[in-house]
Amino acid sequence: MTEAKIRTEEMLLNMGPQHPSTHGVFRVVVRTDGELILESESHIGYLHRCFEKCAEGNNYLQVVPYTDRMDYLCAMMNNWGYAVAVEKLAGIEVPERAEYIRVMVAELNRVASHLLAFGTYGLDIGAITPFLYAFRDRERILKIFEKLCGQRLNYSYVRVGGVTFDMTEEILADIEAFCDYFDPKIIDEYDNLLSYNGIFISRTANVGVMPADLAISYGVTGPSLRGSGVQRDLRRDAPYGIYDRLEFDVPVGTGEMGQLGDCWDRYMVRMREMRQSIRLVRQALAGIPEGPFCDKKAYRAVKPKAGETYKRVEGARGEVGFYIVSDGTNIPYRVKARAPSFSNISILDKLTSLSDVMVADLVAIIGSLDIVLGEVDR
Amino acid sequence: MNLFAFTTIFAQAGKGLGEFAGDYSSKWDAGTYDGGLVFAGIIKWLVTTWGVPEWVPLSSILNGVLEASVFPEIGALLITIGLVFGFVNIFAIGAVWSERKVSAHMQCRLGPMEVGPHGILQTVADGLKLLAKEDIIPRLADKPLFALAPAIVFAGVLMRFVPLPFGDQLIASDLDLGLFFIAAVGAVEVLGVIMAGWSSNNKWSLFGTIRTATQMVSYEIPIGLAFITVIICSGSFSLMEIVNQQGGSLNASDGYVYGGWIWHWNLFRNPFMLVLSITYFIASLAECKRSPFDLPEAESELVSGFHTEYTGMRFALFFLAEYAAMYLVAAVAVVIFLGGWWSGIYPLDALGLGPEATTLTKTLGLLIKVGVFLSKAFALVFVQMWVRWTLPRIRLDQMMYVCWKVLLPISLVCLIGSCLWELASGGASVFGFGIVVE
Amino acid sequence: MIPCAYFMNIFKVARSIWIGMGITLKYFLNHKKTLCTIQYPREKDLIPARHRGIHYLETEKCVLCWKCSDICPVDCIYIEGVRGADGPLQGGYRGQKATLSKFTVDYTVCIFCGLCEEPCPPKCIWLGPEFDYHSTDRTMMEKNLLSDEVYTESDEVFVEWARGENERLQEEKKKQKEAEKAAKAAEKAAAVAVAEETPAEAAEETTEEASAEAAEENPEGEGDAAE
Repeated sequence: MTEAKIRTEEMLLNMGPQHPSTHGVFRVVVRTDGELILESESHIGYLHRCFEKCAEGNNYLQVVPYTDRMDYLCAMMNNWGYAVAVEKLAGIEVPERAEYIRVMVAELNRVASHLLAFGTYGLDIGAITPFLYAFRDRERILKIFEKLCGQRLNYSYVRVGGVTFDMTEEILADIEAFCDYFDPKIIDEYDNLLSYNGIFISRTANVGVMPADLAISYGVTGPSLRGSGVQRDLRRDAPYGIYDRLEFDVPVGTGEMGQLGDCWDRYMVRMREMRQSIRLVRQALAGIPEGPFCDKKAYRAVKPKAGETYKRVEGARGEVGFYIVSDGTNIPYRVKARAPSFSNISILDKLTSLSDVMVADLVAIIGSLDIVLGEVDR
Repeated sequence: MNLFAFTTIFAQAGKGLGEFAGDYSSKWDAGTYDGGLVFAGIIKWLVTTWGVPEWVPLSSILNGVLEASVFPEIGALLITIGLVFGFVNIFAIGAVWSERKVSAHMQCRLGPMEVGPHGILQTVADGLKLLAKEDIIPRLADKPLFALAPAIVFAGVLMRFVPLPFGDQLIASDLDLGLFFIAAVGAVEVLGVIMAGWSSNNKWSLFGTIRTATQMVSYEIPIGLAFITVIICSGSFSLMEIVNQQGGSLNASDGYVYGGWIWHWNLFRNPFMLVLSITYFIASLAECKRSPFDLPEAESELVSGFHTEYTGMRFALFFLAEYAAMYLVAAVAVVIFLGGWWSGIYPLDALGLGPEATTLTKTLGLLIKVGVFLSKAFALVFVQMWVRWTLPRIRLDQMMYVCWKVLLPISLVCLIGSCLWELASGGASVFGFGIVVE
Repeated sequence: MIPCAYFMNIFKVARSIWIGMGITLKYFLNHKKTLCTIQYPREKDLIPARHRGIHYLETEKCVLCWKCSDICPVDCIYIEGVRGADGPLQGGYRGQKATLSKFTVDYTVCIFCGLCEEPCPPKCIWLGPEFDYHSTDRTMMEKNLLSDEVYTESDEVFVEWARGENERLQEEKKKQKEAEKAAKAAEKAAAVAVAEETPAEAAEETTEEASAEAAEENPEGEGDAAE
């Protein structure tokens, strides 16, 4: 029988909203020809919780817990992004000690978030053990946070004018112990276990190649953009807090295992960023000054003058931006959040159409973009 | 290839059944129990010694039937089936538990700890739960196929246990074409999996099914090549014969095989065998759908692949079949490469063999051989688990690449190399010691 | 011609697989040392003092200022009552006793943000250490903070047990604290050198307890920021 006589059909496959690899309630409708994906169409919005509308009905302090729930894996950065925006709007000075604490918790939270990205990416590719190792170490960070502010994910810790609780000596010692435990030994182990594993490389290298210009035009930020070789990090390019005083490198994708901007590069940027974050935490630990940890006046009764502002910080997934309009009352007139995952996920359909992508590759691409659906839908 | 194999197998299976009619008890008494089953002998001995008691109605007729030597063989057959089935179940229960423990200990966890000491009865509890579950058949599923598929998969695995020894003489039926039988019946399992995925009427199951078909049909070839190489070197298809040959020939002149040292194993027969054993192991992982070749089940991609829609006992049968297949490929590897029941230590192997052996040493020797065989197989099963809990899954095209462009050429080179080695060395092993030259 | 890269590729993959398998085997062999889970219902982790769990209310301190229900971003605190011990409100309410008739928190809504404990003038509402809550009915999720009653009979047993466990943990902490104090006093001189070399796990445990104690000793300390 010749090949021409075999009748083949395309199949519409509904991936999600309940699917283990879509990292939440996210639906992709894919048109497949066998294992090959011809076209994909993303559907979002299953987790919409009206953050922006809720923010219009609550005062500046009450909005903070809502920002936690956008990107629940790195809530500190969301808190911080909101806090810097309001501080700029109201002209509030943040005490020095609070800035150090913010850097410390934000970078630890970045490590926790990247650990989860690493673990779940291994899970997507089919390796289960790295996931549990990642969770074991993430648990240490979450315990530190729990001790610091009483919650493990939705911290509401960084607030306008400072932070909620002071760092105690014990927590500082905890953080130092974690850095010593984690930095060279455990990350090297992860690299040996997963990053440089031959099967893992063959699954991720040359898959989902995202050219730099395309990434920029789609508004991709964070590790996903840096994986394409673009040196763009707000902590260095538009420093906020005390980042201009700290030393760190911005790891970018090098294309060493395949083409520049493939899944492996995006993944590896996160692994390398963890080392940089630990480096930042160590510097903050060394330099943390004594003093107040919040601006007590500004802490609760925030009432900025009428005006508007946009501030952004470098979250674990990209630029977390807050655009706030004030009408002079203690309730924001409008809060618009720029969620990095929302922009990052928009490139998914383009990536699947750029090259021959199989069903397994689609899982790898979604995992390498490291989206949080709570943030996409808000 | 497989169709041809089937016809041969049925002829062979018929012959195997016929062999059951042979008089095993006398062979047991004489200590030359070649190619038979110990249980058959024991049963026959029991029945013919005592017979059916007088008070049983129609005892004289029953005894007449027994004397016609029909019952002992059928009884032995049933008992054999029961033993194999029981072994598969108990192994699966133990293997599921140990897989959970192995994974837990690799992942800094404890694993099941609640049911029984260290959770050893957890699988039993889970099995009971699965038995009690509602048997759901999707409305749009092809019901007969859907219901039949798990049974076919399980039967396909169980059938392959027929020519597989568990120790010296402990074999359901020593088929002359044993290895061929194992390779051929493997195709039945693929059929069952395809039925399961297709009849589920689920797109994800369909993906899993197509993957399974691709994978298992492809990987039969490296496995077949490994078998062929071993068959060429040993000159026999029979698993018993292959193992006996690996027992060495230290004193083969009196007709007994006493066992040999570790270098008599096929693994060290020539350098190609060493490579071939690795290719066989990799291909066998694919054959029993274990990670990194677990594409048919791929939880993160296909949710659960071909058994997505299955619940309750039907799901348990798939599960059971998977673990039975794990043991099976490991046991075959032990038979064809790792010296079967020979421990590789001559004095230990020689225990209970030869004309001077008493019943005590015979029994002791048999137990040791069973223990050695099982521990080798279990060690390989552990390696399978170890691999699963370390490695990521490979993609479909890479799976095909590994099979056709890596394993197949290497296996072919090993096949040719082994043949040349055998011709050149006249059957000498790597270490220069003789294997079996008669 | 088969290029050399073919064999190099196979070799590289095999080597990386071997390295990875070495790591998991190392963990497997040292599993007693690397164990990082606890058998949850029987063993319980120490809960930090700042943990935000189920609300507690010191009824006699409450002055009925509604600050907690005002600040609540999701409006899950419902309060009814009159100020003054035997009648309606007279004068300012700071320090004035209040008669509460209703003080409930709806846990289907509550997000445990902890904002309610900050503005409270007498610091009488706080989020406690209990985190394992459950019910079979949505209506049961509204907890009455006045009576401290539990949801069902079986829950009562559970909560009793959990409280006993918490008390036991507190006592253990106190004992450990005393022991630590004694130990610290004994080797005050060498303490600095030792602290730096303490392994990670040990340091974590001790700090956890210490921070809990610190918070116990100084409950107002946390709330200072609110004023």
